[in-house]
Amino acid sequence: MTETSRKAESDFTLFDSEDRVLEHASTILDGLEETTDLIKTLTTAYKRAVKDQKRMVRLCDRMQEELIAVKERLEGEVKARAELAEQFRMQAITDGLTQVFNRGHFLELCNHELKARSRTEAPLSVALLDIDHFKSINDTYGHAAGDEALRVVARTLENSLRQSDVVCRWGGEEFSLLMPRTNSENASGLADRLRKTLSEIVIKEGGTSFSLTASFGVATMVGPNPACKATGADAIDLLFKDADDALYEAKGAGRNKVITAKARLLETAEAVD
Amino acid sequence: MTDTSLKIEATSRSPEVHLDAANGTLSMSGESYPEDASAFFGPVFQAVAEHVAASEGQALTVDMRFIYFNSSSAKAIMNLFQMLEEAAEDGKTITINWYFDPEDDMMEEMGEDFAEDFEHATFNLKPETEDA
Repeated sequence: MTETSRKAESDFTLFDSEDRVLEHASTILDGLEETTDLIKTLTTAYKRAVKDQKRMVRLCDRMQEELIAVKERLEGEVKARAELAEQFRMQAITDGLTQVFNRGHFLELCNHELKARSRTEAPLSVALLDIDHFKSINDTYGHAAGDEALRVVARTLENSLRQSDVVCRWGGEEFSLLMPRTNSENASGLADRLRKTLSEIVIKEGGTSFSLTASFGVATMVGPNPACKATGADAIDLLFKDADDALYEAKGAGRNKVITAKARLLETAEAVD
Repeated sequence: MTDTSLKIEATSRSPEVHLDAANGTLSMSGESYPEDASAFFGPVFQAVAEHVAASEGQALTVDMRFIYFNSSSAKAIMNLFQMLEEAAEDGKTITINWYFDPEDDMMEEMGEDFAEDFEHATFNLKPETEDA
């Protein structure tokens, strides 16, 4: 035993530094194994993280695509709705057959013009026109021809008016014109030009063609507006009553004529005077 | 054996979760974009982990029916699947059914994607029409 230890001691003495190097190397190798294991674990985790990241990126891209698709669909729907709303708005204020304003919207514009003239007291003229013997057009050429006549008259009036004037289908075969800032004389002149233009058009429908005439009643409002709002609507009513009376007179006088009512100075204004 | 069952009702932003310990089933369904995904899925993971640990020898069937899930929920689902795959690797019998509307390409693709991660657990892609 003593022998052995002495031998070992002597070996130890001879190869001391080599043994220490080997021992050190062995320790390092043991550590390397541990490090390798750690690196393997890290690599596995990293691979998993990369896979997760790739998947998340794909998912995000997919979601963005879906969002874009939804956005485009929504934009399309918003646009379609806006178009539909505009279509409804136009339908609500337009006469379906002739595509000019209907009476309701026209009267709103009249009231708007009445307000607009409150300070300027500019003359405000209106005209009512009625197609002469319209019933016989329907009876002779058929209702389709009658409808076409209404469309052609509406288009002719629209094309012949000044930009500030407004035309509407008053009802049946009657149309109405609003002529802001136009005195009685000019309104009468404009109505007469329209009367002449209408008498010159030829309407073609279903293989036949025919012409027509129209009678006009013109009325003009001068002086200040009525003092209170309530009488504003009455003022417009009175103006159209004058125009209607004049139209009736034109019909009585043989049709295809323009009769102009005496310019109406509103009653409130007359009272002030 | 402790009862590790868990039942969470669905909200407009979070799915219904039901872990039935006695029958060995876990189901998740609905939409998932909770305000705090960690807070929502934390208790779910814990319950599933406890159940897996406490139910040795019992099979577990997982039914997933998602209409939509956000990124955080996707990460949570991946973590859950990883946990299940590891349990399957340790010998537990685990079947995952991924139900999706056949018209929902995204859910189908996600299912196909997840399917690749499973070696030991069984992962089934199950197209399912709403009225089926």
